[in-house]
Amino acid sequence: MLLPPEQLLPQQQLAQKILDELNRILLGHEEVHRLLLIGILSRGHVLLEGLPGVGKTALVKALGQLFDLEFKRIQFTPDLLPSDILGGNILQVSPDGRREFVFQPGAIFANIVLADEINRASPKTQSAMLEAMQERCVTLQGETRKLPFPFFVLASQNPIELEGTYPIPEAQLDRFLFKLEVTGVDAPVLAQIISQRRRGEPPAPTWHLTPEQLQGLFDAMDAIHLAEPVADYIARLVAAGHPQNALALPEINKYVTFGASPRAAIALAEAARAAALLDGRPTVGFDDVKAVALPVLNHRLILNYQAKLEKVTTGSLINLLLEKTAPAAL
Amino acid sequence: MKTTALEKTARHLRRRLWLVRFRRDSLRLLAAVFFLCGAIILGMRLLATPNLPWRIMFWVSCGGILLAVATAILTSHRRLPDWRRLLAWMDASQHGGGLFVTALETDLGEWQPPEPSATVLPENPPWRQTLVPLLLSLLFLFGAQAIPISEKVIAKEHHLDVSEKTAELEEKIDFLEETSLLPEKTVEELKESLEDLSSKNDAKDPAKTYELLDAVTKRLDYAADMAYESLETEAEAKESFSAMLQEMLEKNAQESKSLAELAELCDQLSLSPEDMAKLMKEMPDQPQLSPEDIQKLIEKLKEQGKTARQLQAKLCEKGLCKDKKPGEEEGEEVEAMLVPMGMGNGNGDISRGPGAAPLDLNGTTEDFTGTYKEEKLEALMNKKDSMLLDTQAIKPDVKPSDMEAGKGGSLQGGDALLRQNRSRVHPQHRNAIKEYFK
Repeated sequence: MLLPPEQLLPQQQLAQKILDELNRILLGHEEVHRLLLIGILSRGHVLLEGLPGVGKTALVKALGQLFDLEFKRIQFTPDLLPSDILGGNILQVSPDGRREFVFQPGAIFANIVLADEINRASPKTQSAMLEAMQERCVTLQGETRKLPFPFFVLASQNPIELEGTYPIPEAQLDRFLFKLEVTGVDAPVLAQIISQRRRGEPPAPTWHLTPEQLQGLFDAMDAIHLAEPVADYIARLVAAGHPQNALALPEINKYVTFGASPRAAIALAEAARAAALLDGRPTVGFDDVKAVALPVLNHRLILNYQAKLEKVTTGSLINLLLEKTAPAAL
Repeated sequence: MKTTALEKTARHLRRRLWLVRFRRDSLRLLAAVFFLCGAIILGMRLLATPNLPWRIMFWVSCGGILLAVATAILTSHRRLPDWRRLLAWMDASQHGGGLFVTALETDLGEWQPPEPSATVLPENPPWRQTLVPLLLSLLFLFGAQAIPISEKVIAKEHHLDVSEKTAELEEKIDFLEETSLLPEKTVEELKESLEDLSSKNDAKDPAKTYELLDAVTKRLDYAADMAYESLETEAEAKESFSAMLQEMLEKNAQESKSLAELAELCDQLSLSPEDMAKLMKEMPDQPQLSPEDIQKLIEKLKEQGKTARQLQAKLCEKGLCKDKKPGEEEGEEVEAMLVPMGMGNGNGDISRGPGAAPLDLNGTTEDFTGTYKEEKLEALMNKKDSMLLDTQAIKPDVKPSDMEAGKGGSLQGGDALLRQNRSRVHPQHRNAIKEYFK
């Protein structure tokens, strides 16, 4: 049986309240805020990509302030080591004089981790995030330690600087639920920022989301029903993005080297649930899937050189997929 | 809203979709069928009979319509989606938010999905795309039946009926084959040519057919002539030989001259030493032929000569050697002399080239100068089946006083030269003219 309206609607209102607060704190990125919240509700990690100064870090910091959760920031630098992120064992002298190794947790042991400029760290360091992001635990010297719940990695990267940066490996990219493009704001919003925010500093949130409230949102998320035809649509959408698949479009065969993984299909389903929750519906609709398909699949389609030569983007291919893949497969 | 209501709406949509697809498929198939029927009718009219009854078109079209409708029913039903899929389509197209499809899986509780609508269909091809081809095909169908087609347009592929002539020639060939007067290889070649003539000739090119027929006939005639000459020689030689032997028998003297003549005749008879020996075997082997032996030889030779003459007679009877009478060589020699002078008898067959005698259209010409006569050829007045032959103008009968230039209407004077025009009679008219002159 579906979640009754009296249980769902308060959650939807709460989610809307979070959105409104975020929109108040940071101006001009309503859609990004919505998708970011969807990502949070889906318990996924989000990668924010944008030019310097568009507000990526400010957004994550605002989210961290809004959510009454432990927030830590990791500034990725080329000399960052995995132990700086994960932590390590340190030899310490106990009060009774014995020497023993004590585990010192790294910055990753938090609810919300801001991985700023994640592409500046070396692949070795970036790979330290893989287990943590997927399994939400850290294994060091044979000992596995669980990360706190909830655990989100909100990473940011600069798309224009190539000097001293390392591209994020596909395996790590696949662990991000969304990759959101954070663009600049238009002139009226900019004028408002300039006039109302000294030094561009955003205001502090007026209220905070408690862990219990967040758990309530998660519970409502779990109750959102995903019907089989919608799941079938998600599966066909992901399958159509694979070259040489029976459902693949000619453009996919031409421009795509690797398609999205099954993890993408799961991410799509979860994100669609969150979208339905934000709309106050107990079921996932086909429109919800379409709304979140682009940020979910954007970073998971690996294009070939021909696509780069012809300047074909993943966004255009995903839009084509959405257009050509019929929801009901008549 | 209960599931049954959604199901009801989905099933209704399914029926409507079937109708739409059926209509589209049937119109497309009907257009194709009508085009096909029109092509069939047009083909029948062009190849078989131009005056095809309208009922043929009616029945062909009815059959086509039934076929198209039956096929449309099958195809539209086969490709019809399940009502559950249609419900999913409705959910997606009408922004049902997943409630339509969820209703099939779980209880919606207090949630009410939006009112589904069966008015909007997944597909609804515009009328123009289906009606225009149909109208064009109907036009083509009626045009195929109604358009006037002349007999001449009919591209009949039929053969000239030369069966009578080829049968006649085959009979002659068979006769020559039976009597071993024609080599086997020649017989085969001639028969093959006749077979090709019968089956592969084209009515549109009768000249070629008749030319080939003439060639076969000439070859056969030549072979028959050669056989006739050979038989003539053989018969003459044997007759002479038997006459000589008879004379020898009567005179009872073997003169060297007779022996020499005998040797020559043996050569002419082409009696090989084996043949001669065979002939002699029938008589007792004696150093000198007795009168009885010689008589037997004479009888034998006469018999063989008679056989040769009989063969010659049969050749003439079969028409292989026209106007020849076995044994009459003098007439042929005279004829052979007169023909180049233009004074011999004509061979009477216009297929054998120009006749030697002037063509007599009205009665017997008294002399070879003839009298210019004008006669209409009744049989040839139907221009449809005839063509104008060139006229043969012979020397007119003019008085000496009129033989000056300018008189008689001729630049060359009344003493106009004999005009000879070799007119080529076209083969397709040959038989007509031949029949006329019979």
